This record gives sequence, structure tokens and C-alpha cells, in this order.
Amino acid sequence: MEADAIKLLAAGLAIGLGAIGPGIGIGLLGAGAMEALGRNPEAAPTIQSNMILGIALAEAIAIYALVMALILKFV
Amino acid sequence: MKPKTIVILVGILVLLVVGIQYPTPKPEISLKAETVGLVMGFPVSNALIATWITMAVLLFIAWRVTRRMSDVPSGLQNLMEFFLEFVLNLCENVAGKNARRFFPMVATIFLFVVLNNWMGLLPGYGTIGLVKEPAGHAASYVFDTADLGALKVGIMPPGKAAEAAEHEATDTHAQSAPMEGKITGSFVPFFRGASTTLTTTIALALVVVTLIEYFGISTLGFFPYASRFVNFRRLLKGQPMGAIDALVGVLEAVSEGARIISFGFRLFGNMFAGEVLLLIIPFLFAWVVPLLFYGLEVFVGGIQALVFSLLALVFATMAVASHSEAHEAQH
Repeated sequence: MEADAIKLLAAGLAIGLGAIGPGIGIGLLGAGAMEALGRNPEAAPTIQSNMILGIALAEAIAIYALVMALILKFV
Repeated sequence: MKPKTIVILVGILVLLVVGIQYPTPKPEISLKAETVGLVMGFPVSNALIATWITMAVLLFIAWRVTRRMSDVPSGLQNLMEFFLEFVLNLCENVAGKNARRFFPMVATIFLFVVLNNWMGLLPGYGTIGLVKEPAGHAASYVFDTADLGALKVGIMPPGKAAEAAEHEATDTHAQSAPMEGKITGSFVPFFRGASTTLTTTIALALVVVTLIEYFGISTLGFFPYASRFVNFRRLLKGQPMGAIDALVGVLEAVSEGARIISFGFRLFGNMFAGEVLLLIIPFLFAWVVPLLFYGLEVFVGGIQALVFSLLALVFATMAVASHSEAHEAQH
């Protein structure tokens, strides 16, 4: 296969496979937060801000995969 | 349904259908912020100009708000007090007694990054710029020219007319005669959202990590703080389990370095992907649909600024928490 074709394929695979892990991770975080909110609605601000922090850290991994895909496509 | 609702829905449908006829041309996306010109020999990129504009706006707001401060704030002072109170509450929740010490760093990062991100969405960023001779690859766009005396202005026609034909890449310079009243070239915008380039975000990350180390060293002292990373005490005493301490120290040091990468790439990835999205979506559907993505970008810009400053705060708090306190809390 030519190099350009493989680059396109690699870009698609990079972001596609790279988003699986963070997707599951963020889902788990959301589920944990929902359960905690159900048990203790008064702690909502604490739970919410910690959840946002956790989601941003998990999302960063997906962003690394996205950056690799963008580099493959545009450089 | 009320007739007003029906009219609005039909209007949106009409806009959607008509918009498919007039898409924007295929966007020219570059990972690197393009150089606009030279200032005293240094190349100045469009993201750098956007950074300067953000700085000017922040300084203007700061001057304007503190000019004649009233005890009961209103207008701009009220808005800035809302932001600062929000950040101060955040600091107090996370850092406790160190809140006032970390507040300048956190507030600066938050305001700077959020303004960078949001100003990148203003009209004019990415749409007004220079038409340059394409270097190397084929020309991307065809512009209609208009002569305003000393200034030659190129206006991009809507839709497919703006895309340069593929075969022009193979013509030699002498053979490709320019069409009447049109020029071809690649487009370099004057302004580009400042966080969409790796330069700005890695620079911010370096500053933040350096500040965190400074906070740690100034609170704990150089050797106590360094003992977190270079921990050979147990090993030197002859206990072989001390090797674990040494390994953990090396791991901590590597993870400090990885924070630079993580800070920089998180902000860059989010903002650059957002910009690519905002360039590609109008290429697919010109009208109505980009509004949804602008809303997403506003949200993501705010969240990324918040996360950057919040993470800086959390790491700073962890850095000044003395090692022995953490150990005693565990045992």
C-alpha cells in the first residue's frame, strides 16, 4: 500500500481505538458520580467539581490520541 | 402548533437546504501557527498576535474595573468580581489555608486561557488575512480582487468558485496566466485562537510546572522537597526495600515531567480539534448547523480553562503538602 493510504488508515485507527478507553473511563466516572449524588444529594457541588476534574483527566488521553491522528493527517 | 413555531421551523429548514448550495471552500488546516510577518527579525505568527490582543483586552479590563471601585459593584466590576469570587472559592475548597497564595497563579491562568479560547471564536479570527503565494504545494483558493487604491483586497467568492483547480499545481509559473480580476494563493489569517498552537500551551504548561516547583521548594525547603524525588535514604542504610523508595522517587520525577506534556496537549488538543471542527462543519453544511458547534466550542473553551487552572491548583496543593504529613495520615 502507498504511504498516503496507510497514513489515512492510521489516522482513523488512532482516534477510533484511542477513544475507547477514555469513553469507558468517563462513563464509569459518570456512573459513580450519579450513584454518589443519589445517596447524598447535599454533597452535589463537591461531587460535581471532583467529577469534572476526573473527566478532564480521562479525556486528556483521548485528546492525545486525537493529536496523533491530526499529526498523521496534516503533517 | 402555534403558527409562529411553524414559521420558525420552516425558516430553519429553508436555511439548511439553501446552505447546502453555498458551502465554504475546503479548509486549509495547518498544525503550525502560520507566520504573518517579521518584527525586528523575529517571525510573528498569527497566534502570537492573538495572544497580544488577549493581553491588551485583559489589561484594559483590569484598568477599567479598578479605576473607581465602588462598594456596591455594577456592570463590568460586577462581572469581574463574579469571576474572581468563583476562582477564590475554588482555591479555598481545594487549597484551604494556602488559597490566597495560589490565587494569583490560578486566576491568571483561568482568565488568560478562557479569554484566549473565547476570543478565538469571534468573527475575524481565521477569516481576515493575507493572500500569499503558495510555497511548494498547490494554491488553495481563488479570490476575486478589488483595487482600493494602494490596497489590493481579495474577496473569497462563496461555494465551489473559491476552490483552485487541481491542475494548476502542474503548470509552471510562466504558463499559468492569471484570470481576469482573480488571484490564486493560499490564505494566512491575521488572527488565530491563541491556544490552537502547541507553542502557547506548552509555554503555559512550563510556567505552571515551574511555579509548582517554586511553591514546593519555598514552602518545604529545597532538600525536603527534593527528597520526594531523590529518596535513597533507606537504600543507603542498607535496607534492600529502599530500592522501592528510589524507584517511586524516579517515577514521581517522570510524572512531574509528564505533567508538562499533559497540560500542554490537553489544552492544545481540545482547542485545535475545535478549530478544525469549526472549519470543516461549514464545509459540509454552511448554515444553521455551525451554530450548534459554536455553542459546543464556547462550552469546551470554558471547561478547558477551568480544568487547566484547577489542575494547577491541585498539583500546587499536593506539592506543598509536606511528605511526613501525608505519611502520618496514611499510617
